[in-house]
Amino acid sequence: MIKAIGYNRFIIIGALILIGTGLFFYNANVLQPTMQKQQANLSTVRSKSSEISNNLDKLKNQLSNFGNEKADFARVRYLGFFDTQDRVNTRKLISRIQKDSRLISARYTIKPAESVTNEKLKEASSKILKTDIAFDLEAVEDTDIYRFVYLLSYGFPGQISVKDISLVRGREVTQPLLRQIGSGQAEAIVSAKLNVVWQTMVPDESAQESDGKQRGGRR
Amino acid sequence: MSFLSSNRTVLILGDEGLQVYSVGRLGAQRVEFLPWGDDNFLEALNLAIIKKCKRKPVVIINDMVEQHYRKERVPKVAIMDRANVLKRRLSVAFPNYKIFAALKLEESKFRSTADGKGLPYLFAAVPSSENLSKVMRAVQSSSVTIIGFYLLPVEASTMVKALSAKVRGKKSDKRKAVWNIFMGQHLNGGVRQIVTRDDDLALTRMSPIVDTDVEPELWAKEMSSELTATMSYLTRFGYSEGDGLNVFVIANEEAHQSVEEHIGINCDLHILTSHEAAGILGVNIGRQNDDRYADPVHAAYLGKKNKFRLPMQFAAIDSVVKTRRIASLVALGLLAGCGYFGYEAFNNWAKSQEAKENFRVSEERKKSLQQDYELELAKKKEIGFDFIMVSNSVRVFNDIEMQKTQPLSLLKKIGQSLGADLHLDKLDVSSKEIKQKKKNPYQQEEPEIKNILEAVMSLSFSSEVDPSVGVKKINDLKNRLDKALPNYEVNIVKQVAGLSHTGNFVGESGSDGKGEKNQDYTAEILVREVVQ
Repeated sequence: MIKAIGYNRFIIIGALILIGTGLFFYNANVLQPTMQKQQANLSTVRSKSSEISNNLDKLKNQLSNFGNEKADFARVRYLGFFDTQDRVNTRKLISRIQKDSRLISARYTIKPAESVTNEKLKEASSKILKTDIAFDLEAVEDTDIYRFVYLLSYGFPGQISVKDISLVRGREVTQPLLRQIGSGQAEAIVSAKLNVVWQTMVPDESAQESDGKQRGGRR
Repeated sequence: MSFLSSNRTVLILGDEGLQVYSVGRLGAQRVEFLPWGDDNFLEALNLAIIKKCKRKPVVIINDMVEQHYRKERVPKVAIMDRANVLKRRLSVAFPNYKIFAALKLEESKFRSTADGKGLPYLFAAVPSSENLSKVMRAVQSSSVTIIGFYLLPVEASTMVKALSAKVRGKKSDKRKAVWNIFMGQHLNGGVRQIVTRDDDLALTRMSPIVDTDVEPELWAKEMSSELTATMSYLTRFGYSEGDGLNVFVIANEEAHQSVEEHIGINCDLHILTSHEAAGILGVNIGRQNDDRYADPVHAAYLGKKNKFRLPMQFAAIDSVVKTRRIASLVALGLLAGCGYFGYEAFNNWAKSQEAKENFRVSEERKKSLQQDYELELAKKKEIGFDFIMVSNSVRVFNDIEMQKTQPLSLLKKIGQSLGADLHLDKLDVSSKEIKQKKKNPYQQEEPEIKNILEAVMSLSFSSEVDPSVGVKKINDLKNRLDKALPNYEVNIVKQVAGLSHTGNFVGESGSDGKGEKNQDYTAEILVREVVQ
């Protein structure tokens, strides 16, 4: 072999085979796996960085927005938006509004509350309690009815939305009727049927259980 | 394969024996002279190549007397057939020789009286000999690289050309001489003359001459007579004085004047020592005992030469050269493979380093972000609010606020518009859901649902009131409502006693006016919120 190809060639070819083989195995067994491992590590750390960065941005936004929304939240809370629609308290409140508005009578029917939810509410682990209330009102003057609606709208906790109202003047104002009213006997001249929707936001226990945490306006 | 190395072993085959030159950085050193009859020829040559010349690639140069040259034209054939045609023509030209080769000449320089068709070639052949076989056996057994087997006159013709070009550069007359004669005595005693015409070998002679350095006069005389003999040949080759002739003679310093005195032909005579000639050619011959020998110049020049003009072909060298050429190709392939793997390895290493550096930077960034995040988180905890709860509850509250209907304002305006003398019998206020179209018709979203308020007002008048008065009061009320409720549409649905263009009018005219008392004195007004 050496005679056929020459000593120098033999040495050179041998050396090249050794170098080539060495390079191949070193590349395949050491450098490539190391490079792949380094790139995987890099990818992982970049992914984590990106996640932290996103969370940080979200947190900063929340902090920034909180400055603006703090006052609104206080107002919403003050307006009783987080009322649990306790029926005993509700009855007392309606009775008080009826007296303050000088209605002769206010009969009402409170239907069972419905639970309404959406994405925003789910994020806040909350739900909306939506209750239909129907009123039959009797008053001497239509302004009493107006006052009742006013007090209901602004004095009731949460959001009250009037679905419909129907006022009817039931009797003619006559001398005997006026005398009767003057003697202190309240006679109904105006009657009204009022349907409203009452909405408040309450914690959603099922969502909180699935979240595994307790949430609320204030911790 | 020399891998472009300039270190070579040059073996010059003479008639007396073999000269072994080691050509390298220190010049052309004659390391051995082996007479052909030496009993230990093979061992000595082997030793010289391996030990003294350190396995340098070998160039074998034939400087023997018996060399045969012919200029011939070869018919033009396809490139694929050319080698076979040449081989056949060489066999015909030199039927008794096995070592031959052909050199293609330039047409413009070919001045042959032979048939002008075909391509001009210089055919060369040397006889096989036992001496050459011995050299080949020794070289093969030493396992060194064989560059090739060449003829000294042919390969030295480029050296003569180089010398001619150099001396022409120094002359005032820049015209190129057609003829050049190089004369140099070799260590075996003979003088080698190489004659070129238009830089191609025209004639070569090897003749014995007195080998003396103590009688320069005698030496110069013999050199002159040899030159004269050569000139007689040149006239037969078509030489004329107007062509221009350079004569280069290698001689030591002592013989310069004698040579100059004895050479009386009309030519540009250049008498050079071997060192001077080597200097002109840009090669190093190192230390020499005598400057009158031309062998070191040939050895140094051919030891450095990269491209030989006429590689001689014969079986012994072809088999070795072919095998070694294949081995060279394999080595080149392996080198390319090593290059590729080296590149791949470097690439992967570089990528790994880059990823490592990027990992370090990303890790630092991650730590920094984590610190910032923890700081913000601490701020959040300090505040003590659930931000999502706060933000979303405000949004939900505002959404409901936007959707809900609030008739208080409408009721108030209706009350104000009625004034003191009008009273409602009935008022129905209800909210209606309407679907509002999006402004952009290309949006595929659901239409927006909006609640609007609608109020129906019923009023009645006493039958004693003149209907026209009632109509006027209702019209006036409508006008007042229009002004008070700009975002509402106000329509009289039913006019008093039906006295409108669209109303169903029922009346009775009689003497007692009872018919009028039976008329309907109620009116209805519809107030509806206009969707913006």
